Amino acid sequence: MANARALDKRRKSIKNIKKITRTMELIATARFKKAMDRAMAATDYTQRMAKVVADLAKAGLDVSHPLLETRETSSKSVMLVLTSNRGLCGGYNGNVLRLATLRYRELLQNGSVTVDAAGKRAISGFKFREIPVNNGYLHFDDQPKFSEVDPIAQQFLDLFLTREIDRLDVVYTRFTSISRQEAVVETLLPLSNLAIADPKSVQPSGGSKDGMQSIYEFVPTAESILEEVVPTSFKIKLFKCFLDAAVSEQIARMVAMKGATENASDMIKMLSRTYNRARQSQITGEIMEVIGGVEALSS
Amino acid sequence: MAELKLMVVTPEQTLLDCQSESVIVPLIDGLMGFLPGHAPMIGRLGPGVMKVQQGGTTKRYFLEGGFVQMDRNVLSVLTNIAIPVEQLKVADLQARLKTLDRETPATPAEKLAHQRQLSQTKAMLRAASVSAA
Repeated sequence: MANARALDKRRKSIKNIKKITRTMELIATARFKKAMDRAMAATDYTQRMAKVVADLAKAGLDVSHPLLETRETSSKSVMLVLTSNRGLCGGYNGNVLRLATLRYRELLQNGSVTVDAAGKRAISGFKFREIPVNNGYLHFDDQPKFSEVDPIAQQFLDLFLTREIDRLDVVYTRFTSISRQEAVVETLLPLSNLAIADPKSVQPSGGSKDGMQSIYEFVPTAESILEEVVPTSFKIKLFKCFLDAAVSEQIARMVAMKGATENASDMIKMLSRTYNRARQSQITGEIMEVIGGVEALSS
Repeated sequence: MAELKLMVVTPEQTLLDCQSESVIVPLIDGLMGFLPGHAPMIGRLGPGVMKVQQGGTTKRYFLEGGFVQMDRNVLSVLTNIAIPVEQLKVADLQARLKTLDRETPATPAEKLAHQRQLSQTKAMLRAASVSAA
């Protein structure tokens, strides 16, 4: 039977760990709420943007823009991988990295691939897999700012327009609902469509009288507005990727820490049982010794 | 007095959601004023200062690019950057302009980025020095 004192010591240390994981869970919950609020605030912009796009489309404009063109050869691609700076969030980083590595191999067959990574975990993960990382971004925390994402987006736009790159893939964790996030690869350049939010949100806004063409006057021209809409919607899409990744990270951490706390509780329960049993058998042993001593004296 | 509803939205937040008597926005090819009941229109914004008239006071914001949409007396301004003009400091901007002038971009992509920063700083400087005067 194990030593009662050693068991007690172990139980104490597990109790301490439980306190820590419990606190981390609470912190992750608070951060998740904040990140969620930000993501919600961004949807206001995307919905209005979708409305502008829908109104433009109604004007019967021929939608063409260099960013929307698919190139015949996509030999030079860039892959942007979004992970967290910190660990202890379950499979969050692992899932993204696994998907990114697969995609990297696929892209390598078509030509050269440059890997950009946001988050310490991606950088160290790629180092381990011996995949060179071109640009590493470490300054994104749980509240990515548009002013931080904008230069990166602009840089990709410039590279794409000057034909330095032909394709941009973003690997991140998409947030679908609180109980569902999944790692996905999204091709942002060339842009496949302009609708930013889900198509459902576009339809009701296009509900002015049928048959009537666009009621809007476009200043200076619809073409000029389109010229601005396309890069902006790319930036917003990229920003949304960052926001989604931040929200998903906090959820993943929340879930992981909740699991850890529960496991610690289970372990404490088990250890307490073993400890009590050890203690009892120790006492029994001591009593037996005392009785044995008494009997030896009396005889 | 008739008023129009003004919404200024950036990707991060809704900056303004208020009633206003008149709004002047910087379009890409010049200023445009909006009074209540303006006809529906969509415009492309350029860098410059937006003036919002509200009960006798005028608030100024620096905007950089984006769109403006007027629909049913609601004026939505979608922009990447919206900063109250008072927060722009002439000295800071001049210092930034100087450092930008010294940089020499190498690749074509960097050149584009450099030009954009330069014109942005210049536009901010213009906005800040007009309001300071």
